[in-house]
Amino acid sequence: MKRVACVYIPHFVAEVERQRHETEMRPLLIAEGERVLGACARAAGMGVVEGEAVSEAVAHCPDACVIPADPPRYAAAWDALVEMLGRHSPGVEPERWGLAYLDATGLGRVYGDEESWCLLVRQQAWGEVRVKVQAGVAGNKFAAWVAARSGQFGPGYRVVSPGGDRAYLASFPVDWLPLEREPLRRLGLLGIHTIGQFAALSTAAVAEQLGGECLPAHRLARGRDERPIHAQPQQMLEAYVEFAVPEARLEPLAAALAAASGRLLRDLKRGNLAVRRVELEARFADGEAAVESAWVGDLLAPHRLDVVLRELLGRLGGDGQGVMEAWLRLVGLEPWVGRQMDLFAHAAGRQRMEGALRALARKHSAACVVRACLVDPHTPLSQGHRFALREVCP
Amino acid sequence: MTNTDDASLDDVIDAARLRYGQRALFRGRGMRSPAVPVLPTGFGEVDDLLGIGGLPQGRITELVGTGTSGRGTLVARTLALAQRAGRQAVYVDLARSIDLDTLARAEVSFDGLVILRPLGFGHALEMIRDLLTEGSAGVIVLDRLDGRSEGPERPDPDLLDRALREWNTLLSRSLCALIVLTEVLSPHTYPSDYTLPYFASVRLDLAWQGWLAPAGPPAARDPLTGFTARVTVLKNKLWSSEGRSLVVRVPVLEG
Amino acid sequence: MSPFWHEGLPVRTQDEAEAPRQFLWGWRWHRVTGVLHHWRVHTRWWTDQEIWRDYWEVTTDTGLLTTLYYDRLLEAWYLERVYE
Repeated sequence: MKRVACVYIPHFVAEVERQRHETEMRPLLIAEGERVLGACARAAGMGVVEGEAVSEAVAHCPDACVIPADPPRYAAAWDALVEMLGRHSPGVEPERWGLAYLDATGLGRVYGDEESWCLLVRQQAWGEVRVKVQAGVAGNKFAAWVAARSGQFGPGYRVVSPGGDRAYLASFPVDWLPLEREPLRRLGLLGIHTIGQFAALSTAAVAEQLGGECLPAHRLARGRDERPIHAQPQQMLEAYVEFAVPEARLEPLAAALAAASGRLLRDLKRGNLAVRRVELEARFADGEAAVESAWVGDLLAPHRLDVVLRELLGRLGGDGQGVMEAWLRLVGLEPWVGRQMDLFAHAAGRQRMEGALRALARKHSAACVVRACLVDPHTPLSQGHRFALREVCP
Repeated sequence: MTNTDDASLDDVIDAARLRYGQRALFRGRGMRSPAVPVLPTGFGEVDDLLGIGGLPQGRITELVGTGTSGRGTLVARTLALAQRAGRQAVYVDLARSIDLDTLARAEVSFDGLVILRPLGFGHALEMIRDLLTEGSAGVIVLDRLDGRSEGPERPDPDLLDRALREWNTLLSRSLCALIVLTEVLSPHTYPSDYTLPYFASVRLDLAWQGWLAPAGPPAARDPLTGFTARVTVLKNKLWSSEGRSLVVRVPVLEG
Repeated sequence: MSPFWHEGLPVRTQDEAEAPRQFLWGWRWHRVTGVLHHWRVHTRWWTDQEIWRDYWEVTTDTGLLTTLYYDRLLEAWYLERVYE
């Protein structure tokens, strides 16, 4: 099932500036020329609107500290944040400073659950970029954005259960939808104040009362948002397979793809590269095409690729149509800095030591025999906190 | 001479010295032991100072000192080099203060490093004895003995003495190097009731000398690149270098 | 090995000034002779394990290179590491 995450920083520019002005107690206004480029939450709460004249903003917020904008700094912070998000999702679509959508399909499996993913992303955003982000996970972009936006009233994140988008959206104010001022005014006159009430209107009524241009917002209110994630292009390796006779059987398909990917896997191994995502596109005998992808986020050994391929082929289906062509793409390649290459030449000694350790753990207690593991490479604490000790024989 | 014969002669020399004083018996100057398998320390000048190329395997080495002395860096480098040579490394973290970052910067492989966390001094002695009996450890670091004359963490001297006798016998049959760190303010304040100085084949004292600041304009440089430490050979049964010392440069934050 | 206290080793300081001037560790007092780095960490505020510390990397008259921190939540000084 498709899942989308949204990472939202409502006052991104001000958040970045706050790092330089952390002792400043006054509201922050960031001015680019005569206009407000960014304002902190407090200033926004006092009526400051981004884009308005600085003089007007100061009138709303006379106590504000006005600082000159530094756009390269904000761009660098945003790039760093997007790069970090890219490590935790197979696809990231940065929409603008302070708002990004991510393909969250399958992340729950990789990170335990979607809440854990949200916590980790918030933690890493703070640790690496020093910004507090709000995160939301739902079935589509709009619901995920609402979930992220509502995160400010609580732990900073919200996960909407699968299939629960419409019910979740229902209680939110209707002005959270992308509607112009005039339709919102009319809805107010009609006593419609929540997204749920708006969603309950018939399509015909919306078109008639508010105009056809409000129908997209109406679909969003009903939990329907088909906008795909346009992920940034990433480094990719691709293998191609063609079948003279359309192939519908799983085994020959898997075998052909595995053979075609042999060269790719050798290239990956030589470069010690990990793969973020495996994508499989197939064109069927009836001309239809389909794409499925799976998150990997690790080094890819042949047996692992085989498992992933079979899963993807299973999802592709094809309705009995054979596959004419298939493209296997290994997407999002990056150097693997996990394990250290060591001691393969001394495997016998290592094995013997493992036996000794098991005996020690049995005799003295498992907690007394440990190894160090890198658990948090980006901790803001001292470098010693990157590691944790784990029992060798738990 | 075999390793065992050599060890027996050492014992005779040490026993005589213990009974009759340090000057009772000594190896002739210039006599060199047969090649002793060693673990290089990562400080070439210290390996040269020792005369045998590193810390001896099948023996006990004691590193004496306190504070920012260079001991930690020396131990980290020794472990990393030992691992690259295929030795299995074990770290006995008695003080519960292992600094994984220093080890990581020295490129110690954590996959290959075993860390033992004994519940107390007696437990540490037992675990080390079990490891030496089993025989697959290539280097064991015991961090650390508290050499203060008072204090709750002070190891029981009798317990230590019994353990050292056992270890010496076990070590003489193996190629494991046992490195013990002892925390003392100076060699002069070393507890007189510890027999580790007797059982150790090599004893080094490491002490901070001064800070290293980089050259260059003040605005461009970091405040500190490292420090210098004086390394003194307090004892060396395997090569006549007792009393010799030199100063090494220890980089900070670069392993 | 460089001692590193994962949970911090509580130390007595000479006074409650913002910057460390002297601290008691081991057998004696160590007077701070130079501050190499000073930084603040405020993290995990999103959990119940908030950390809010002022870190100081200092040299002392006794030849230590060490990291101390002042825990702003516990209002106490800790020794984190002695470089060896």
